[in-house]
Amino acid sequence: MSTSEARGYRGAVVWAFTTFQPEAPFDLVGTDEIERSYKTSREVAFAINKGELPDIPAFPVDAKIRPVVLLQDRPRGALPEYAALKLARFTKLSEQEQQAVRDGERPALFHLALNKSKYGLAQENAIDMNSLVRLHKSAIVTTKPVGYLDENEVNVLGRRLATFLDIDLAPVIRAGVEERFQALVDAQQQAKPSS
Amino acid sequence: MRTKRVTANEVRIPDLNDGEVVLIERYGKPYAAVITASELDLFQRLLAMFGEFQPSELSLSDAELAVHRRSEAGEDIEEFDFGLLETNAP
Repeated sequence: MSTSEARGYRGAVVWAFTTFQPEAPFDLVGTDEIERSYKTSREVAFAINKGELPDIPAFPVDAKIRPVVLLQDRPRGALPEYAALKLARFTKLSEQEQQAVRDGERPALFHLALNKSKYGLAQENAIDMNSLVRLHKSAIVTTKPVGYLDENEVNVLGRRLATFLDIDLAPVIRAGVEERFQALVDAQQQAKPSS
Repeated sequence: MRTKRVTANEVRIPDLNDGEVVLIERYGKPYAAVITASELDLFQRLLAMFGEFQPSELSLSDAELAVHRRSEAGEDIEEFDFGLLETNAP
């Protein structure tokens, strides 16, 4: 069994083709094979409605091979897409800001120190917490992960991702605390000798 | 809460001890407050627990945004080593 089969893809560092987001103006080829430029997504929708564009117009996008960290396992192989976060370098920041990233003081940038045997990367990187992408497995170039985050890092990443996706975990945590508190009160009352 | 960062040499900060707040007044009314970084950390944790939910975008620093923008533009990214096509074959 290879390492990736043993560990799966959760927390794996792989190189994959990631596409750039299409942005207006959109240059699209119409049903008459003529390319036109559309300033807004609404203009595109109107053009589809008029039959000027096909129902599913092709948006030309660039793609680059870059390192990403996969967030999920797909042990059944039933879902071919993976949620992933992009890795970025931060060399253009001031020395002071670079150090702040290394010291964990910039939570939107999860620091990955240069550690080739662990992460499989030749340079220092940071995981951009605001770069969530969905990758089809066929877009992954290095099917064997080049490295892995450890279990603790994956857990921290997950909690931090919830924050950056604006998922409010406070009500769930509060409910859990209240439930536990009530269970303790109930247990104490049951243990109390009847007078 | 949106956080704006400035370096210590850009501003004149009054001396501050742990657990102390310096209230800055203007026209006899409180205008701003200076607290220590650890007090700010506590305040933000309390805000997260008991305050209104805040979109995370408000907390992003200029540096975090700069790295994100460059990365989304395909700049300042580690370049792929094409040798991996040989060594990382399926």
